[in-house]
Amino acid sequence: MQEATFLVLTALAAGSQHGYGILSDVAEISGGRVQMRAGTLYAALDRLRIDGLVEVDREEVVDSRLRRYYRLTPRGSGVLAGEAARAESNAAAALARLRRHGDLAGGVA
Amino acid sequence: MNSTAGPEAAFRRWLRCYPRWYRREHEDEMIAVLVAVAREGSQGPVVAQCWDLVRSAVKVRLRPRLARSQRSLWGALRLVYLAAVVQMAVGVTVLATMSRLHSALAAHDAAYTAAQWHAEVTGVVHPLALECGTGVVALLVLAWAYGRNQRWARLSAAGGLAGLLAITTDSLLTGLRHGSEVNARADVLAGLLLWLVEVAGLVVALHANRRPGAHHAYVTALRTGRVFLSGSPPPR
Repeated sequence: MQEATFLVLTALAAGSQHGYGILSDVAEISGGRVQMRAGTLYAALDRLRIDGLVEVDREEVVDSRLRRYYRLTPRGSGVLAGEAARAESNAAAALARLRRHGDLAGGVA
Repeated sequence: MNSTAGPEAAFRRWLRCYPRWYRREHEDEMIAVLVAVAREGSQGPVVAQCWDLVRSAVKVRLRPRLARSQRSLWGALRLVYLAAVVQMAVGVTVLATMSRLHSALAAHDAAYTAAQWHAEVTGVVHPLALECGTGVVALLVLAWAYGRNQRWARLSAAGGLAGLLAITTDSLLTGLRHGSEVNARADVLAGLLLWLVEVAGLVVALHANRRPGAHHAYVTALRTGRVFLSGSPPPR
């Protein structure tokens, strides 16, 4: 799974969000490292909807503009959980090996 | 004066890169996000946003709209792409084996003239290479149509693939019938490979075009003993 997709799913893990909320959340989750743009976001949401990982939660009109909220489907939650577990396991293995070689002295706690 | 009017007009222009059906569904919410981001000014100049829109619009237009779980559809799509690659290889082989074909023809007939070779090249080799090029384009169009994930598009693509298979079969049979008089051995082998890929693509495409879930529903009905004849009322 691409990092951008992972971050979009993570942004929706806490509850439904509209497009701008997802963009802000992705920037926050990644510590400002990933600045997703609107075109990329909607292409990713489109892909995720086709795959059945994300769905439209509700729509509202704010300042005469449409605001559409997206949420994770149960399948999307499952895929995100699996991906997170895999990333966690890989990261733990990498850190354990680095510690064994003493490459993390003064690095990661 | 509204400070977002300029960027909004620019965004609406760039959103025209997207297909109409996509704009109908997403234009308003995308404009809302783009204007909000432009107002905040956190993502650089408007031109960067517009470039991102163009890139994403190309992806939306070209990427297959198939879910990852639709494995047989993906299989058929990959075979159509593979057929396009093999078709291109056939075209290259035809052009690359021209000199070998010339030698074979000259060896077969001692009185073979340059004028006859010129007629062979313009009458057979070049049209064959052109047919290969057209085939590559046709296969790419079929792959695109297949990836739209509309039943009519998939059926049209399967029909188009069947048509191309008929043309390939005809060319292959001609090659096998005339041997080295018309085709070098490499041409026939490449044509045979293309024929096999197209047959596989057509079989998978026809299999994948069956109503999604029909097989699963039938198996489930068999397992639960809820099989009923067509026309009789469904079990409650």
